[in-house]
Amino acid sequence: MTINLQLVGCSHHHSDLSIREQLVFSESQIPPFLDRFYRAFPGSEAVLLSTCNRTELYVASRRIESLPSDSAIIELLAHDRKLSPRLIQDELFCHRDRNAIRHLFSVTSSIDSMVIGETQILSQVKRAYQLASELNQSISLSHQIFQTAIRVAKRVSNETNLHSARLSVPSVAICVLAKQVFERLDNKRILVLGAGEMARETLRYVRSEGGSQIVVINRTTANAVSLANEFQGRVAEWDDLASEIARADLLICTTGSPLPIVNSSLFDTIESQRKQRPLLILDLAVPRNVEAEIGDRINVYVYTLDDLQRECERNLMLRKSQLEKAQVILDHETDNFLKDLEYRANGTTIALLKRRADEIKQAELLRLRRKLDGQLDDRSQQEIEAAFHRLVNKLLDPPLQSIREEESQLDLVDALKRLFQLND
Amino acid sequence: MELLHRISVTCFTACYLLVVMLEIARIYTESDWLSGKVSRFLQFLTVAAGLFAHSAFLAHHGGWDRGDQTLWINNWFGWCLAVSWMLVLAYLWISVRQPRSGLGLFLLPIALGLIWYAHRFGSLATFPLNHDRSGWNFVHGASLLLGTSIVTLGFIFGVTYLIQSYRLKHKSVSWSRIKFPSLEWLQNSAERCLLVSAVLLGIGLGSGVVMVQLPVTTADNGSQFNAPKVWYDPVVWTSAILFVWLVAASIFNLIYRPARQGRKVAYLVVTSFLFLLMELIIVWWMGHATIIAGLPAIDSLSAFSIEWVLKQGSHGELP
Repeated sequence: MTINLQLVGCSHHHSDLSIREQLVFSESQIPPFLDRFYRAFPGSEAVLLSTCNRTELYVASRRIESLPSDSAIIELLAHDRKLSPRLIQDELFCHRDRNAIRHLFSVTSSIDSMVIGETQILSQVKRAYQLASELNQSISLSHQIFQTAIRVAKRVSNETNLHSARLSVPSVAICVLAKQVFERLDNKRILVLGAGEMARETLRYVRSEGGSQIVVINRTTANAVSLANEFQGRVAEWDDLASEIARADLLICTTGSPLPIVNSSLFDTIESQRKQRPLLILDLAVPRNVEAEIGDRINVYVYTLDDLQRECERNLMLRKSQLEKAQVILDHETDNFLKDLEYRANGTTIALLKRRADEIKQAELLRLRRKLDGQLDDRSQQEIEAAFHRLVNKLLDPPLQSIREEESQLDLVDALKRLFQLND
Repeated sequence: MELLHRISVTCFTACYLLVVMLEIARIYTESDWLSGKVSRFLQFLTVAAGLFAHSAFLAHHGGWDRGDQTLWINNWFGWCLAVSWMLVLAYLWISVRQPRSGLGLFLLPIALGLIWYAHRFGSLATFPLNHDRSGWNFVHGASLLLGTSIVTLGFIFGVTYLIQSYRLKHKSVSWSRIKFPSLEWLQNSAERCLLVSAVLLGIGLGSGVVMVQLPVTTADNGSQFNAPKVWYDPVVWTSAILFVWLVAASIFNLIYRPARQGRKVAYLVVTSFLFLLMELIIVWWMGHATIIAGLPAIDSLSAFSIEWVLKQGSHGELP
């Protein structure tokens, strides 16, 4: 193996948030850290991946002597974060070579994520690699590893359903449920009650699905204005609630009201104005903002937080069922990557062997031509050359085939070097 | 051409059956392959191949390659096959527009049912074209054929709407393995079917009325006679009732706003289909537009009149 890879890091699997938040690096903090790393450990390459769930430093080198020890890396991290190495060393995990590669593939494919199958991690890995290559353009080893990791992540995504099922309540509500009722959202009136975090998160999905006619109603108008501005919507007064519901196609309720806001008496006043137009109500509030009876009205579909949560749990189960399939892909890809590395590393020996065989063949052909000077016509000469060529190929083919197929190529290549006395 | 000649009903029926089985298998198995893009693409190709065979069969056996152009509007066998052809074409279109929808579970069995009917009862009725009225015959047959296909499509959209609405009300949409298009799409499609079918069946009825006014030419000596009027033909008045219903439903749908909303449109298209079914049963039962032994070859609408006249013991204006 010509790449020695080392990984030191922490993740949500091993470390509490209290540790992770001390080790997290913002994007602007990464280049200065890598700069310090290169000053401390020249001759190696480093990529630092830091998200809210993990901080991982990948160090690669062609020569094992250039690779810093685990404790040296921990010390550098601790020093940079102004922590005691002793405090963090038990919280960090270290992997080498195959395990480190397998871990990176698993992280990039989102199998190691807190929310399995989330897609954000791939862009975070890409960004980490991009930052490292901007600082040091000669990170060819990291390039091989990270490019393969990105390709593997795409393969996992294509060949499994790990990413297809949605897991958050707002995403299920808008991207799954609303699409069962409405073909498109751009021509629908979307009314949001409340201006909290749930409303904001839901509106992100509404916008991503093309929803543009957004109206926000909140008891505190300032919050409503802020939310409406963020999503290019408009604000309506609380007193206009009934008339706004009469016009709405999608109603998202997220207020903290202890009593239902949309009740039967309110709905009775607007039902005739609605002309039985379909209304999807997403009641994402606890306690509920919508009276259960409203769901019995014609063309009104009411979904509560519990209804949506059930869908999320079902999707989570679906993702977990895909894990095994994804693990098989990762194992296969890790093996292939390592094999490919070895084959490339052994390429010099194989090329040397082929060159040596070719030299012998040419020398023997020359000797034969001299000996039979004038006795051979052109066609016979060509036949003899072709026969020599076939002979060499047939002799070399079985050992080269064995090297290609062997799990650990190093032993065979070593034997080959000794048997044929090949020196680099 | 020799290859086209060898295409049989079995060829395209097998393709459609295979796709129906795939759709059903998708409900009962958790296979990733079955729900994947590759299997859906293969399914699309299978239906497309079936439709090609179906088209070739209709063209060849309908005599289109011989310039005859008679079978698919002048024969129960061809007529049923042509309606099923249109339903499969609609399925292909839906496969492109709504790739993951399970509408094929409704559409293809109806198409297969029509093929079975054509195969089973196809020989019951053959009605050669009267060349004096060939233009009107074509308009009459084609518009009724298209109208029937579209009413059937509307019925499928309506039924699917009701199922989808029920599933949404009972919060079981995502638990089900069958995916349907959105309520909005189903409603819009059902609405369009209602309007278009009213227009087409109106044209079909109107062209039939025009045909009755024209003289009938006998096939053997080419002489002409005036066909008796057929207002008492049950087929004619049930067609008229169906047309009036479709027009009324369309007007109701346009004027009364709540009627445009979902379930009411679904009920309207489902009722239209039931009317159509009743109409087709009467047409088949009365032997409307079939050739009668011993009589000259005449057009479809006149056949009932002649039969009626014969039953009355009167020769009317027959030559």
